[in-house]
Amino acid sequence: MKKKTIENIIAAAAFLVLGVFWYAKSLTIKLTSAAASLGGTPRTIPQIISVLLILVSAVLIIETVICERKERKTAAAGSEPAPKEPLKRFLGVAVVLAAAILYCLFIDTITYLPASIVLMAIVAWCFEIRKPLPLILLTVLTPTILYVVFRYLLSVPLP
Amino acid sequence: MKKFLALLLAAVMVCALCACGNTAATTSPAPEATPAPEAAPAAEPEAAETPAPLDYPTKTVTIICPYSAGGGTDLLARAIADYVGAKWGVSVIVEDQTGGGGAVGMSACANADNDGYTVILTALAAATITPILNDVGYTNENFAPICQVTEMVTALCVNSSSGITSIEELIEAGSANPGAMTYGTTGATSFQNILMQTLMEDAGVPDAFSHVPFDGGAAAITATVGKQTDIVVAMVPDLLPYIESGDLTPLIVFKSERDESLPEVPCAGELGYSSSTTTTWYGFAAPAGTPEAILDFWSDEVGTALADPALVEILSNINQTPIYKDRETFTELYNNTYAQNLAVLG
Amino acid sequence: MSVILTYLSWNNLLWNLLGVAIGIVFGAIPGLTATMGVALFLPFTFKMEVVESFALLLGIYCGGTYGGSITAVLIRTPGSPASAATVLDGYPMAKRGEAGKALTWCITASMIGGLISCLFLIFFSDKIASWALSFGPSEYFAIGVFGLSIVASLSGKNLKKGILMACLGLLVTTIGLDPITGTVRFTFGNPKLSGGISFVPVLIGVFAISEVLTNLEGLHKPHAEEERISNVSNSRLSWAEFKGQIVNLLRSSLIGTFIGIIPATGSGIAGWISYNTAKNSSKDPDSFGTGTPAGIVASEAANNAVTGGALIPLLTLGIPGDVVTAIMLGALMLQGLTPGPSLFTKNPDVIFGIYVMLLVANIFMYLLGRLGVKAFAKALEVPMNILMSVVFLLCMIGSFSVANRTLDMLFAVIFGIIGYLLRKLDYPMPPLLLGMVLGGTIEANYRRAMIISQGSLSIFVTRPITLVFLLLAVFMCIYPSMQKAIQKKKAEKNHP
Repeated sequence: MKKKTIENIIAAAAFLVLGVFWYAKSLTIKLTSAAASLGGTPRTIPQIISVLLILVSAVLIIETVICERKERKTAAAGSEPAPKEPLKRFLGVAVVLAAAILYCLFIDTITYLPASIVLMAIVAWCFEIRKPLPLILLTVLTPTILYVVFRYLLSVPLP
Repeated sequence: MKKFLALLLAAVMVCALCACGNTAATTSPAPEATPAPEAAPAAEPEAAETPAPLDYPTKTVTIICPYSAGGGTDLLARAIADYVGAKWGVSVIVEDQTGGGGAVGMSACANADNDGYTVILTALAAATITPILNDVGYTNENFAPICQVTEMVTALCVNSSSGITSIEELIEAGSANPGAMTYGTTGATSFQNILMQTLMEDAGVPDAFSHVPFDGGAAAITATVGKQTDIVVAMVPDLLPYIESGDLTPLIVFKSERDESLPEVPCAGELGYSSSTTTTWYGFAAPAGTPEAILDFWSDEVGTALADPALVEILSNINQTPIYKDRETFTELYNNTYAQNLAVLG
Repeated sequence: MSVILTYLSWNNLLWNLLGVAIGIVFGAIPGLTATMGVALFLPFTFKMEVVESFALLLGIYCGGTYGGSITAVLIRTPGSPASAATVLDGYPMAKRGEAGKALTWCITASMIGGLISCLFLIFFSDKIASWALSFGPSEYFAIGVFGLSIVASLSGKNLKKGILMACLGLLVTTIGLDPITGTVRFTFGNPKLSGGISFVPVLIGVFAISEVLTNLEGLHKPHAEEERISNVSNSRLSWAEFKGQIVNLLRSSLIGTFIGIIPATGSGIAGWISYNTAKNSSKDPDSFGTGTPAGIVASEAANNAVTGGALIPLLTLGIPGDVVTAIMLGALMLQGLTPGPSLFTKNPDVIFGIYVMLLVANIFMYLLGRLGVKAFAKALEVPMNILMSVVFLLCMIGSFSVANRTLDMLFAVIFGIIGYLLRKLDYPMPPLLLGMVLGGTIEANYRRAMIISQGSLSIFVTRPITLVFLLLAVFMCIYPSMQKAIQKKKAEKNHP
């Protein structure tokens, strides 16, 4: 199957799983005896939405598969495969994401300024800012300026 | 390089504007700071144990408000923050952390550092009802109560066009058609709801009225003014403007004696509903483990602030009267209320 | 006339100008909103005169509502939820090199929306006021459903994917305390989730962070950057261009004003409803989303029109029309004034002062905005990789600032990942946002309405306003297919 089709199916399946999971979790919501059950319980709306999610994602999966089959039948025999894209570009994305998540988890212990400088450095590096002077200027100035603007001018606290 | 300069220039312009604003604004609160010579030194009855003067506050203090901006609690917090900030010479900011019936703000405070730079202005409901009804990650043991700031009285009102003029008539109408009439309160786990339910039980009509929880006092009151709901049970300061304009008619005040702002309205005490006479309190608390010296300092400072006529006037504009209770009294009240509610609701 | 001049004192004007500037900064920075700005500066107003304090607060309000559009156009991140819909056409326009023009459209539309709603405030307040009171839970439910039905036309060809995204948004709103019983739901044992997931971090994640990631991935693609030369010199609007949008401007401003009047609904939803209406009424609906000025105009005029509209129920009834006016209610009360009919009779000077200050705020906003267009657009000339790096950090900090929680930063990243991945598969983002904005209202008010009607569904058909909005919602759902069918018939007619 085409790569895009697989990706589409995976995405739709993810929604399906989410729907099932949410529905299952909704069954564990406590029902207090005095709940105003006239308009439904705390479980009702989540259940309706998760069922909708399950139905629509199922339909989407089926549709995608049928579409793919149709295309395969009608496609010319000599259709070129999609050009292979280098996986290298995802490396940068992965690194930045990992850095971001670590930033969120550890910023309270490391405090704002050091953590932000490190994050900026990683992000800028991934964005291919390699020349030392702009790199250092950027990674140090940006968090500092933002710090000043937020804390002193706008009186909005930072981590 | 040119672009970088352009960015920098823009940033500097913005900074300049803001800086002007800030300096202009911060000069105005200065005249408000009332002379309070007995401030820090007298703040510690246990001064004998701490020979050095209290080195607090030296940096920004944060007051968490678990209710939304513009509401009574938020305004109260900001008024006090403004006052003590001017007096102490540090920045005292109010942080709104709303949601969960006060749970979000309370757990934020419970998890904050107990160095005395984070406190919370909490209400009875957030402190002693929400944690019992739900597993929200804190109990009364996570907090060190500081002092009470005010109390608010709850009242019950109906829309003036309903023709009902007394609580007895209301109960009659309710028992004739149980569940048909609705009452709105400020929230699902609100104190007002508990008061109303207690009232209905005492009157022998536990199912007379259906509860419609809203998101805050304003929404509940608007619903009754707009005749979407029949009754509203909310706090007197929020209700007063509508009572004065004639849109709402108060039928009962949930207090043991009559309330000064509504002298003609019968109170629960005199009508025999003695279980529905609790007033809801608002007070400061800090994370458990905050140094006692700082707690006492806060308590005394707030006490002084609440006695200052200038602040009292600002508070009366938002229909709030300071009712101060010092640290010992408030700590007892806090824990007692928690224990009581635990027995009743747990 | 001389009366008006008394309000235009140097003090008032300066505070107003300062407020607008502050507002624009707050609005522009993702994570900071007009609401936050007004709340932060409220204490400054304690010692000021009433009209002075409103000069400042109204300035922040107007500036803040407009400010979000700047970043929406430049970096695909609405600085505040009000400008979320502006991204859809503002950013493509900027990418085409017309950033200056896009920004000019933003400020022009914002000002006109603001002024029109101001006129409504001044001349029609009393007549409209009581209308605001007839909105109860069933009406709010109906409006919510109507807002959600927009998903149908916003999703274009990807209806099912749009529905999935909307459901995701709705599910997210079920996290936290149940609005009716207070029971804890879906917090997975984490008390920090008991307040639910905030909207702004998700907004930042879905738009900004996903954009940064997409750019990062496409770094090696040739000639991706050179096309973004901002055509700053061409940022003026010709009369012809303006004329073409007059109907749109008027209609969007009206929509925004009325949404402002409805209590508790505000700029967050106004932009979307107006955008959708413009799309459906346009002769060329498919151009929406590719960078047509109509989209920008619809969104920005509506969201600024909320400012005047929200003041109407505030001043006449004491009922705030949206979150910011709720804070202004506090400001009034702190000054010892009680909004309502009595305010008009006892303190007409305050009322006039507020009117004048709102007018002035819109004018200052326009001046500052126009002045800033060149500077703002120049920001796009910063090399992409530097800009994106800075934006990334800004996003993190912005999402933190919403509620001072590091957890919100994590959510921004998570939704950034979700947005980044799903965009590749043509999953539309606006339905997710709509689901999040409306989910809470829809569920809570449905159940409240049912309690009031004692379990009977008839409440939704017997109340006129409710019925109207529900019918509109149904109409919105079938309209796209209707449009297609009509177009098909037309095409068949022309080519028999």
